Amino acid sequence: MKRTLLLWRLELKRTVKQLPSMLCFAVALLAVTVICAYAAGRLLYQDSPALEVTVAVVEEGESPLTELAINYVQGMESVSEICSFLTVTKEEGFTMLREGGAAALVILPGGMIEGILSGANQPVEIYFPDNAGIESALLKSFTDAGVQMLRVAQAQIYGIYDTARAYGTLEGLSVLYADVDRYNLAFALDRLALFKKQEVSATESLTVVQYASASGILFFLLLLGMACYPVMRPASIVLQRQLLRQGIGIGAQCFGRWLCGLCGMAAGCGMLLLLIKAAGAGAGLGQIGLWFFVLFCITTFAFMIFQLAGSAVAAMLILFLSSAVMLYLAGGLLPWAFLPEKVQELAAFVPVTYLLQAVRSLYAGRIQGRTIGVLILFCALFAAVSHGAAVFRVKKGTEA
Amino acid sequence: MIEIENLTSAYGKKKVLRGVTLSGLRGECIGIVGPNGCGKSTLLSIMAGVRRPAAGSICYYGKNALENRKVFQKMTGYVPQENPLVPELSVYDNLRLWYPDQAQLKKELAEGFLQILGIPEFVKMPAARLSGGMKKRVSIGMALAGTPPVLILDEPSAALDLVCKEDIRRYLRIYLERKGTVVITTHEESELSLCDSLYVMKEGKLFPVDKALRGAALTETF
Repeated sequence: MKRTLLLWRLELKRTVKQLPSMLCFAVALLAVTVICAYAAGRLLYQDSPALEVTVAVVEEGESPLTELAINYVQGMESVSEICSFLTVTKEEGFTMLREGGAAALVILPGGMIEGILSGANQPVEIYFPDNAGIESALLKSFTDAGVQMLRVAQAQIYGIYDTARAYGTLEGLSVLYADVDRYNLAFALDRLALFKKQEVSATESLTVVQYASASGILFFLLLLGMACYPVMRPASIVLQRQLLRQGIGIGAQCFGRWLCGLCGMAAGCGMLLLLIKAAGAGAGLGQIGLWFFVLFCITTFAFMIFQLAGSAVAAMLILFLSSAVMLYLAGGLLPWAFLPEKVQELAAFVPVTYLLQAVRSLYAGRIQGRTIGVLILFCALFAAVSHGAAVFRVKKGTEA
Repeated sequence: MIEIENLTSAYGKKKVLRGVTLSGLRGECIGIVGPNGCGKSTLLSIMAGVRRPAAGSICYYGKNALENRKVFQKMTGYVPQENPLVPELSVYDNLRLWYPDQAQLKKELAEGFLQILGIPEFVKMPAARLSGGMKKRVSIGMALAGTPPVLILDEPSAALDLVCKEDIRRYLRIYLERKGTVVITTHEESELSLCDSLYVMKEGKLFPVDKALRGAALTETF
């Protein structure tokens, strides 16, 4: 035990010696993370809407009234902010739809407006692409909702006409139509209420800034493992075997290196917190216990990668790639709601999903028990894999 | 003092040692020669307790080392081909891992074998900045922690210059004069002069070589 304690002490001494170079590496990583976070923030938080929908419009037959109606719709602020209409021929429209150039194709029949006025009501055809993207999906959703509203309004109009004729009060029809319009606009089609009151956020309960900074913090902490390579990379096999001969087991050797990794990570994390505090954005991030828990998990993950990879360069490469991929799967780079369904299903098996929840809970001030439980299980798994990899390398490595 | 009988070992299906038997006395230097990959290092690592044999027995001073692994720790010092140093730490800190008692370490540096090895000259230097010869001297110093009666060296002169090789031979002579037993593998003809008995390893077995035929054995082996 005396030898083991001495080894850990010397490992810590080694860490202290390596600290300046590790912190320099961490600063470089921080710069990379800040640039990534800024770019992501710009993408999510830009002034112009992130969604731009092109709608191809085909007019069958020239009609000044139809032209007027299109210009009117296109001029509406809520439409012009996200939609642009492009008048094309039918062939061009279908080609655009196939090649992803348009989110929808609207075919307006000749004399459409005249038909509405005369009651002929020629149907408008709307086509969406087979593999609809998010723009088409949203547009289809709006169109379906609009069609439902029109059906209800049409049923009301026919109902009022039939009722008025049955009771012989056709002369009061215009007043009845006006009343129905008023009620519809007040209660069923309150467009302004819909736009003002319904809030939809892809970042769930977090603000966009909190979302981006949580992802940035986690990405930085994951990459921090790379900066800690001088203390976390496995010792040479010959040294490990000699230590084993001295009665210091592989587990004790691994623990020493892991402990040094944790110290290195804590130093890097402390530097990050100081910078956040200096920038005046440290509110709600003072949960030391939670920070420690997150660091504990990330260090164990990074340590496992170092043990599995064997060499420092391979480990750093794997750490970078796995961190980026897992952060994407966990919804840290793009909001989870925007990810394909299959990717969303995968997220439950990715440890970074729970790490992200833990980092986000720094803002909420409390963490869910389930998240802690899953992370502890992942840590136990990482520790077991690390130990297994170290034992395998030391026992099976062949002599020259 | 060293009694090894019928040691066998294999890497997967490849048998490396096929019944190796060896014995040595106090103050005796045993040399083992053979081509690369013939199993010399495997034999030495088994003798040092780093690997376990498939079968056989190893006794040091009458104690069965395979039954009590602490025997390896107490009775043998092992100098592998590569140096087991922590490059970021100083020589002193590296030595501390093997000499947990600081007073003992200081005594060894002042008047013991570490002083003979010339380690005090560079004891404060980081291990990463040492030359090959210095690293080997530190490795030998580490192996001698606890003054084990058996010193096992795996090609200690490999990749060293002539002066360093001569130095190492000098240290080994002193160790042998103090009645230690040395087991050494080598490709160096000059190191054979240290050996009281020489074995050649062929097809996983050790064959004794007559003193008169040593030069021929070395040439034939390579």
